[in-house]
Amino acid sequence: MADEKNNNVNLLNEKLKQREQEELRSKAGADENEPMKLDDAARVKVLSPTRLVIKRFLRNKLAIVGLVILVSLFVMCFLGPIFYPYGQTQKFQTTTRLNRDYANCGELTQFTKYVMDEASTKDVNYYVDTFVNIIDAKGVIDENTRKTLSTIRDVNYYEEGAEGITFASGNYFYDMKKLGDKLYMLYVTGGQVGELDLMGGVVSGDFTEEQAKQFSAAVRGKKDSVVVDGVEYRFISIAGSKNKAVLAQYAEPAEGILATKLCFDRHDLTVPEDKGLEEAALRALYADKKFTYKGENYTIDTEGEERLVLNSKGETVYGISEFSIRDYTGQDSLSIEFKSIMAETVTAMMNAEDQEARRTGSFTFSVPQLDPETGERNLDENGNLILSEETINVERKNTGEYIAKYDQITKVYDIYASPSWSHILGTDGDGYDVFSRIMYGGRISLMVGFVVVILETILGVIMGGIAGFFGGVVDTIIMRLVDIFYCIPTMPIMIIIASVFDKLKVPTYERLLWMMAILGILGWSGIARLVRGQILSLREQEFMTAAEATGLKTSRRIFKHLVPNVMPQLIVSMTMGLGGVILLESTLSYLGLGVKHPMATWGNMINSVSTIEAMKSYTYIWIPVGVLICLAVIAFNFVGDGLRDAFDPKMKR
Amino acid sequence: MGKFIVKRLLLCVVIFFFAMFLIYTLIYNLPSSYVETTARELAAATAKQGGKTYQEWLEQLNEEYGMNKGVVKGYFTWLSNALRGDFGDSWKWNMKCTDKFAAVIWNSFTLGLISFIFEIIIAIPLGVIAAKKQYSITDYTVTCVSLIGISLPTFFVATVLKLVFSVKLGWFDIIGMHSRDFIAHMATGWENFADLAKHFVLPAITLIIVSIGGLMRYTRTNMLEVLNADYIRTARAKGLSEAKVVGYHAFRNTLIPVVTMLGGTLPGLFAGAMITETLFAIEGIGYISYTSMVGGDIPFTMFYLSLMSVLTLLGNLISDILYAVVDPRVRVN
Repeated sequence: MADEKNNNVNLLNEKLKQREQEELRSKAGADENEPMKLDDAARVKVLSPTRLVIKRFLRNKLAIVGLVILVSLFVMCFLGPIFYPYGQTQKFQTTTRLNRDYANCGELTQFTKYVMDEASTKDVNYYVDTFVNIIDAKGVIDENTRKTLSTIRDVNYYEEGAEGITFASGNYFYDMKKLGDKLYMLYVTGGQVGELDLMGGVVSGDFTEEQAKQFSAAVRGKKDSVVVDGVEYRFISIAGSKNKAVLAQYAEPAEGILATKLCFDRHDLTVPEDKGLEEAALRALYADKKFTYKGENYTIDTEGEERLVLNSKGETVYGISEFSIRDYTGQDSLSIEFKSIMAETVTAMMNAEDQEARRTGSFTFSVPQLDPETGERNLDENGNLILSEETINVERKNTGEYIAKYDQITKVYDIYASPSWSHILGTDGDGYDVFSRIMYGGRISLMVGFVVVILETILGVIMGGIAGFFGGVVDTIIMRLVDIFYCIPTMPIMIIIASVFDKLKVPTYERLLWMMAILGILGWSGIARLVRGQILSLREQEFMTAAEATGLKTSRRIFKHLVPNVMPQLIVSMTMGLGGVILLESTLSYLGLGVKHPMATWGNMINSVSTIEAMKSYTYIWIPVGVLICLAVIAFNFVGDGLRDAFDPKMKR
Repeated sequence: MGKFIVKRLLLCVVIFFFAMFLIYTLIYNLPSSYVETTARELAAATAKQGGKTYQEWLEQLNEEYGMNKGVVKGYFTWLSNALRGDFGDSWKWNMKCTDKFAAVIWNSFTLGLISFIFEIIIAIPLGVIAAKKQYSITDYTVTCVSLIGISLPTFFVATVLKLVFSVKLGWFDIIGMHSRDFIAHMATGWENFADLAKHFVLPAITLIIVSIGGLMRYTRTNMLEVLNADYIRTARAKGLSEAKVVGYHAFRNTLIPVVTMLGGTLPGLFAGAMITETLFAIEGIGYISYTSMVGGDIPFTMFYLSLMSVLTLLGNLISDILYAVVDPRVRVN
């Protein structure tokens, strides 16, 4: 049935077309014979309203310029990133020669401790520095130190001398001796065997009555020690207790802790550190310079500048140095050759007369060559490092440390790079590619514009449509609402809300959505006014009466019959509004209150170079962005203007 | 006429009441953590100088803003204080909001007035010329320039001006109201004035550039409308000189909408130019409010927002009244 109908219609159309063509042909034939009449209908070419608008629009040069700008902006922002190799938050690196720390050198400030008897030395382990200080002060101890030692650290200090001190702490006796330069040994000389009360009675301990008597006599005689049966006993007072003392038996000194500020440099960095070997070497250093460790004989060579530990084959295993020389990360990865030449330079600097020479020094050394492109170490075909001679500068810090520096090829973020082939507009202060950020920023800026304007328009059309159509009380209420919104200033409200977002640390994306919503809600009043005004005049016209007469629903009458008639004005005001919103968004972002870094928008890109220095030096970042904002807004205005003229030629003045 | 004004005024009062209610609700509903954070930061910042404690800040806020009373009651508390001219003490400036306003408003007003005058001097003649020679090169130039002026972001204009005149040429300071080694109380009045004037040049130029386009377009549009009117054709037909037709008959009629619009922008002189002042650190009401709002100074923010609302309403009112005053035809209706 339907097919038949369609066929009929098609047939009719065919016939009409034929007739039309015949007419045209007869006219054309007539043309040859006589000129067309002045009032001939064929002279007037009738265009549909849409085509009329397009034709008028295309005649406007400024509008075409605007349209071309807009199209190219859209292509750049929305299609550009697909073909452009870089992302908006991709950081770029480059290599540069930087005078960078290579090694540092200093005397050790902390003791390296080799603990042999952990159980009996754990109480005094941390005070080794204090005891060394006392020894270094030739055994002289000031009252304060003594007080601190006895009250806080529970140490009873007995004998003092340049070569060693004797003290007791807890339940043990200790001797501490200086073995040589920067090498100290803590001996344990006895342990607790019992407890006494100061009135002379033995509280605990396994003693004969005779022995106990002798202890009491000694205590009453205010003595510190007593020899009973050929064995020396000492009394150690207990901190915090006035009438009890520890009874300790004196024994042959046993090694407790070996403490040193000397530093071992491994000769072969691939061999792991061996604490046992170091300990044995230290013990032999100031003695006979020979020792056996794990079945192998070692000798210490002290003839040269540096003391060397040699194994039985005469190979150097360790160097013993006064300095700790480490690479800039603090790791022990430097070769012994470097260490010795560095130590030499530092020693020379320490002994120098001249102020300048005390502060800086230099030497040349072969260091691994770095590739100027990648900053990696260069290898030859066998996989060995290629070395190159470099002048290495040593300078003294105020902390007493010596730092070795030389110009190294280093990987750095490529910030503020000038425009080049790899970065068309250079890079910004974060090492991001500016052109890529311009494209992504443009997306956000344009998108914000569109979303806000569409939101405004939807709200405005609904409110304005209702107000204009119904009139009366509804109209009054809505128009007062429009007045109220018109009177609320957008910019300050946005600033307040943005500073609240700042304080609450709202995420970037959420912020963007909120911003668009608020701008839309604050901006609908203008559109509502426009729509209402138009509808007020339109609803009195005949076609509305006709619509009403056909019994259409109210909503259909408003949105299908009235609103489309407002469309021309609406499109014009939307186009113009787009420019305004882009301007507002970029201003907010420029002030740091809109879309936040690292998401790019045109506004915050200019903000990122807002310091005077950056403004002066990096014009290739902010000028293109600024020009783009202007271009976008101008283009929207041009197009809006052109559309207005095209829609309503009578308005063209 | 009197009845019309009274009616409009009453309407303004109603609109102001509801607009401020909306704004108050917004401020009232700021997340409480925001208010508390702000109070805490303020307390921490002023603690060393023996300032208020956190509790005192909060109490002050509650007392002045009725924040603990519920929106409606609180709003009336604030409104009754505000109507008596008591907008409370600014948190950031440590003085009464109204005092701070009085201290800085004349900077804004001066800046606004200078650019307003220049704007009129430049824009109206150009607009008239463009309309007179429609579709000529002059017309296209004026149209383009005015569109570009409308489209330029203030911060971009300001930055370019700074780059050219401050950095490259070194004629003006980049920001601020006084030269670096200028001591105001040691200079004579004239030197003071000269120094201040020098620092107002770039901000004024910025303002003129961004606002001139609108007026130029408006003048051109209205002039064109008038030039197409029948009475102009009549005037020409009478044989009047072109100068007389344009300068007298047409221009006077063009002035009707232009004066109406300009009258409406007059109260805006007291609103300050927030972005421009901020970019050049001119201590006017715009810059001060900007720093207050960013710094979470709620009393000053409320003051500024009420000021803005009043000025907008006043602007509308003035342009309505002026329309009636300037154009006798309106009065008849």
